[in-house]
Amino acid sequence: MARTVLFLIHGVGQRAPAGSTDPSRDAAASWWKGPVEALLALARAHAPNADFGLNPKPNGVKIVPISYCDVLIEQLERWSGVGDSNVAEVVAKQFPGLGLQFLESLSDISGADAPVFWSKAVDILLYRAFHDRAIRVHVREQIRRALADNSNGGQLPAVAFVAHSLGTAVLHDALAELFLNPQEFGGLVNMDVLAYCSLANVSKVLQNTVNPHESPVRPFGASGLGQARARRFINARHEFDPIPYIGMFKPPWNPASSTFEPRQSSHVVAMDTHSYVEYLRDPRVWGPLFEAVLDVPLSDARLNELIVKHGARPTPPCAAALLDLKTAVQDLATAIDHINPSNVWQAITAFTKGLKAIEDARAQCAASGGVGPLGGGV
Amino acid sequence: MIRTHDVVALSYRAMLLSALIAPVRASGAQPALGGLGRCAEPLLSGAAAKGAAAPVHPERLRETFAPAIVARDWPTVINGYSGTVESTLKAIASSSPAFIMVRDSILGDQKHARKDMLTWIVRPLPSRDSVMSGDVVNQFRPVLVPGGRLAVLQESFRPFGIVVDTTTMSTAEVEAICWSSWSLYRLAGMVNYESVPAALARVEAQTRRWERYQSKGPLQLPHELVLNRLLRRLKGSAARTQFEPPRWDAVLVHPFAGVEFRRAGDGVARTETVALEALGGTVWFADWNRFVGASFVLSSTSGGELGYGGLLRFGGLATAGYVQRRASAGATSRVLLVQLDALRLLANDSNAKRALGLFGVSGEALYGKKQ
Repeated sequence: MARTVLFLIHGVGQRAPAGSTDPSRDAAASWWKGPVEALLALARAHAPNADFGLNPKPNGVKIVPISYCDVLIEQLERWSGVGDSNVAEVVAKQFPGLGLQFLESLSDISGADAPVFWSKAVDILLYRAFHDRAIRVHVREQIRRALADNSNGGQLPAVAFVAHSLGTAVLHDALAELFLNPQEFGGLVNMDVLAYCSLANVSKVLQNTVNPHESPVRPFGASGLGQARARRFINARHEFDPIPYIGMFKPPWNPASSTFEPRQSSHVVAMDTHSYVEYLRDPRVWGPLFEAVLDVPLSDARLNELIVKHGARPTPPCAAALLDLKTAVQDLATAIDHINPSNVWQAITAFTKGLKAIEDARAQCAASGGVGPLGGGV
Repeated sequence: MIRTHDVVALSYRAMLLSALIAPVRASGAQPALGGLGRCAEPLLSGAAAKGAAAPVHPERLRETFAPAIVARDWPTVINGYSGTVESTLKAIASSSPAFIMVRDSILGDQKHARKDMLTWIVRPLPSRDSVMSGDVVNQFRPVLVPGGRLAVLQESFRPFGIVVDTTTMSTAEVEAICWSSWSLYRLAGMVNYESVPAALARVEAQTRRWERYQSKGPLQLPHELVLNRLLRRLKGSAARTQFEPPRWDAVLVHPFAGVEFRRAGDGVARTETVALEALGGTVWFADWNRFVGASFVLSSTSGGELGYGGLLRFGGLATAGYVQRRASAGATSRVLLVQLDALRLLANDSNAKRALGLFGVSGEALYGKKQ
C-alpha cells in the first residue's frame, strides 16, 4: 500500500545474468536494481524524510519496476528453439528415439533466418513489428496490479513514470491507448500523473499508436489529442548520447505555457552516455522528479546549484575515446538530420550504429586502462 | 451467463467497499510533513481537525458522510461535501486578497465539479461508457509546481495552477484552503473510482487471454508474425477488440519435425520426417481457451520421399495429420503424421495414447520398446 506509485520501465537489451535457469523471469527481476539503487541513494541525500522505496509504509511512495524484457526473452527462446543449432541437441535429448540426421535438417531450414534477431536491436523489432499489442497489455497489467494493490479509501494512488530508451516508446504507447479509450479503461484514465519522465526518448521514431507529439501523454498546457494527462513532463537527453537524436522526439510544447521541462546535459561522467543510471543521477532529472513525487521543493537557484555540483564530477580518464565518441555522435546526429528516419527499419539501423559507437568508446577506454563506470543497461 | 471478468469485478468491488469503510490512514502510518508544508495532506501529516476550518478536514468530512459513502449514496455525499466546503470557506473572516482570490477560485471550480459529478454518477454503470474529465477528478490536489511553488487547481488548461502564498495567510486561511482542496480531491477520486473496478477486471482479463494465446497457441515464426500483422492491418479491427488477442492466425511455410506412422504387416512402422505446413490457419474460441487449426502439409522422409496431406490441431491437445505418399512401386501409401510437440504430449499422457490407439497406433510405437 502506498499513496503514490513511481513506475520505472527499461530500455533494450535487458537479459538475465549468466547462468540463469529462468532467463525471462530473472531478467525481469534484476534489471531495475541499478536504477532503483541510484534513486534511493539520491533520496537518502536529498529527501531524507521521504518514505520512498520498494516497500514503503502505507503513506509512502512506492517504486514499481515495469518489465517487458520477459516477453521478448520468451519469444527469442521459442524461436531459438526452432532455429538454433544447439536446439537440435536439446530436442534430441527430449526425443531420444530420434536420430540427429533430420534435426540438423530442421536447423538448416529455420535456424539461420537472420542474425539481427539475436542482437540487441531485436528488441525494437520484437516490440515494434511483432509483439507491440501483447507487450502493451503486459505493461498495463503491471500498472493495473500496482494500482489495485495500492488503492485505498476508494481512491487510486497518484502515479509517476520514468521511462528509458525503448521504454519511452513502450510506455507512451501503453498509456496513450489507455487514456484514449475510457470505454475500456474507465476511471483508470483519470489516474493522477504527478510526473512523466522520459530519458533518451525514442517514442517518435518508433511511433506506433498515436503521434507522441500530440498524444494525451503530454504536459498540462500543451495542445493535442484528448486531454493532457501529465502534471509535469520531464524530457532528458544527453548531448553525447546518440539515441535521442535517432529518437526524433521534438515536441512543439512551449515550456513557458506548459509544464514541459526539456533538460539537456553535456557533461560526460561515464563512457556509456546512454546509461539509465547516469540519466537518473543528473539533478535535471531527479530534481523535478523528487519535487513532483516526494514534495521536495526545488527553486531555480537550488537546481542551478545542484547542476553546477553535478558538472564538477570527473569525466572518464580516457580523453581520446571521449573525443572519438563525441565525434561519432555528432556525425550520427548530422546523418540523422539528413536521412530523417521515417520507418522502424531505418531507426533500427541507426540505433545499432549509435549503440556501437558507445560500445567502441567503452572498449577504447578500457583498452587504454581507464574504465569508465558502467551504467544500468540501455 | 456469468463471465470471468464479472467475477473479478465483483471482487474488486468488495475490496472497494471494505476500503471505504476503513479509515484512510492505515495503522502504523507515520505522519510526515512533506514539502507542501502547512498544506500537506492532513491525513498524512496528522493535523487534527480543530479550528474554524475543522468542518472541511478530510477526516471530519469522511466521518460526517460515512453512512452515505458506505451506501454509495453519491448525490448525498457530493452535495454534502460541496455544501460544507462552501459554507466553511465563506465563514472564514478574512481580508487577505491572496486568500480571497484562491477561495473564490476553489468555490467557482467546485461548483462545476459538483455538477459534473452529479451528472455522471446518475448514469447506470453498465452503460456508463464515458468517464469524468480528468481535470474535474484531479484539479483540487495541492501540488508543487516547477520552481517549488505551492499551487491548487492545476489542470490541463491551467498548467501552473493557482499559486498559494501561505506566507501571507493565517493558519485558519491555509487550513481552510488546503483541507477543502484535499477533501474535494478525495471526493472526486472516490466518485471516479466507481468505474475503476470493472476496468481493472477488464485489464486483468485481457492479460489472461494474451497469456493463453501466447503460451498455448502454435508457435509463429517471424515471417508468420509479419504476415498476420499485415493481414490484420488490411482487415482492420473494431475499437473494442483492439486490446484482445487475434481470433485467427494464418500459417504459412512453417517447417516442423514430425514422425510418421504407417501400417507394416501386423504392426506399426515409424519414420522420422521433416514436414512443412504450406498454408493453413488457426482459429481461437471459448475466450481464447481453445483453438483449432488446419493446414495443408508437405512431408519428406530422410529418403527424400515427398508426401502431401492435411494437418489438424485441436487446442494444443492433439496435432495429427494424414499424408499420402507415392511409394516406389507406384502404389500409394497413407500415413499418420504426428508433430514432435504432440509426440511429447502423447508420450506423457495415457489418455492421448489411448486416443492414438483409435488410429491403430500402439503406445510402444512412439518410442519403440524403451517406454
